[in-house]
Amino acid sequence: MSMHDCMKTRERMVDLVFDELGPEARRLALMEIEGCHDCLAEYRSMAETLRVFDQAAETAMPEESYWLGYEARLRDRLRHEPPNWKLRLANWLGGFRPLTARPLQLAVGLALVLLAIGWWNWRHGQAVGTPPIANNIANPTPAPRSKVDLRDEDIAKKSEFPPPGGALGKGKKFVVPPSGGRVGEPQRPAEAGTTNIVRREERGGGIVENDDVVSRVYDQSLIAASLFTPETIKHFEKAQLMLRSFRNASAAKSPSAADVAYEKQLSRRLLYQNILLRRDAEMKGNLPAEEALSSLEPFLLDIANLPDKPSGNELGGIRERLQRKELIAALQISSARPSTPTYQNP
Amino acid sequence: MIQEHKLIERAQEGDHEAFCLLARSYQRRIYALALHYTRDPHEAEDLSQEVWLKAYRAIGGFRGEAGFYTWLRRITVNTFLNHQREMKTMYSSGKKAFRLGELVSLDELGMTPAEPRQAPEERLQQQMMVEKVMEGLSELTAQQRLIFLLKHREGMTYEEIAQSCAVSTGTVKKALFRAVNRLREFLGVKLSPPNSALDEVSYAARERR
Repeated sequence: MSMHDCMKTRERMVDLVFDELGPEARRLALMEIEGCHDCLAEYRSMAETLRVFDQAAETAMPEESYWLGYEARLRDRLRHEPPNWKLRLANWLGGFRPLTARPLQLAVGLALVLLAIGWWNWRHGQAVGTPPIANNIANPTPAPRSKVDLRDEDIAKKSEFPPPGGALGKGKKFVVPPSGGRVGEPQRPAEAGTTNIVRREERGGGIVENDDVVSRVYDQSLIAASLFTPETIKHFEKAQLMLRSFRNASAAKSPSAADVAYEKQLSRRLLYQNILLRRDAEMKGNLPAEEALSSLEPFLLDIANLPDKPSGNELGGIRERLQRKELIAALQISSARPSTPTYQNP
Repeated sequence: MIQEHKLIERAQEGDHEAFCLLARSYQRRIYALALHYTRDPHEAEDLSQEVWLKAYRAIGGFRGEAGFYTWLRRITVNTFLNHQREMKTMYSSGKKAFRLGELVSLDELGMTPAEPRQAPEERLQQQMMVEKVMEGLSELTAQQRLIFLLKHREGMTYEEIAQSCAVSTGTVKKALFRAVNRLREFLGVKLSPPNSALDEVSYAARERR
């Protein structure tokens, strides 16, 4: 048996008094304490202290009548306590408990819904295209070539669009259903007055897959129709015609020959209409329409404010910007009306 | 008698009455802890009611993974620790002792000590003993006091206390040793050798069982 060490025993005395020893360790500790007079006295005094403390603790406790008041005060405090958030949420949801009983699942569900909305918005944004002009130029309308519209061909080429009536596929006929169009004006699929048959052809050995372009054009028309009001589309048509006219007139070799008086007058009218439509789009929160109208407005303003006899520089500046911004092509797409393309077997 | 889990469910649905019934079962324990911790009956009531309010606010999150009292005790300890921090900020120094005058004021509140039929001398003696106990507790730091109460009154293990108070088990043991020595000193318990040995020695353990 090992020698008794009072210091070590007293270190363990707290464990003994507070019942932290296992049954065997406790038995051994008590045996050791019993064998030492001082340790036993120490242990007894500690135990006695705790006994007195318990007694005092009982004495300090209030009597029964106090608890009635205590409860009443607690009730009163609870009455002023707002219900917890889960309960408020449940009430807000009309007492639909299963939703609020699983806050984690609810949060995950909400997050998924938000993600889906975000994804849809992103997709929608991509489809609609912001800025609209840039997007429109990427997918131009297959406008047939017209004499006054040669410059548009460059734009079409840039965006890998086959020149109208040019590089098409293998003899298939693409029929655009009739819609209102004008003689001498470039015909858009939307407004072709008569059935516009475009024959697919091979040119230089390369076959241009026109089906995809056709469907893109059709999509663009649908998107334009879904975004812009008929009034706006009509406005775009007029603006497009005016700008073409301006471009052709300003392209005259001598500045004196450039008579843009008619375009100026028309531009003033269109400017007024443009402002009204832009405000309307702004009010309705139609961002694509608002942006398209906003991009048109500076040109209308510049043309409307041209002097009676504009210099070549002034005209050239506007014309250059028109080309750079590719506004006419954008307007052409924006004013395209949806029509169902049909295919005819060759 | 309504079962505890039913009361908890009702309290989770915002039923004040069910919560009060729940509180009734444990209010004495919580109050006793608060009283020995604060050494002031008024403060003890405030602190214990704060515990109940916090429990009420949090009861929606009670999942029944631990016992209700275990969960409540966690709230109690956190409330006490917060109180301790607040007190540290308010009074950077100065220890508060439980005064006899405050015990007298308990009568006015209906908080007279138990057994009111006792003789006045005996009652006074008991009040003096309470005063000494409170003085002894006031000699401890708030943390030591809390550790002592959690061990002696609540029967928590060293590890549980260490986890609750974010201290080591060594600190817990030291705090207990110091608490017992301080109380012994204030209560005037002498180191008298016993006539009989083990029948009295295992008092503390027996009491808790």
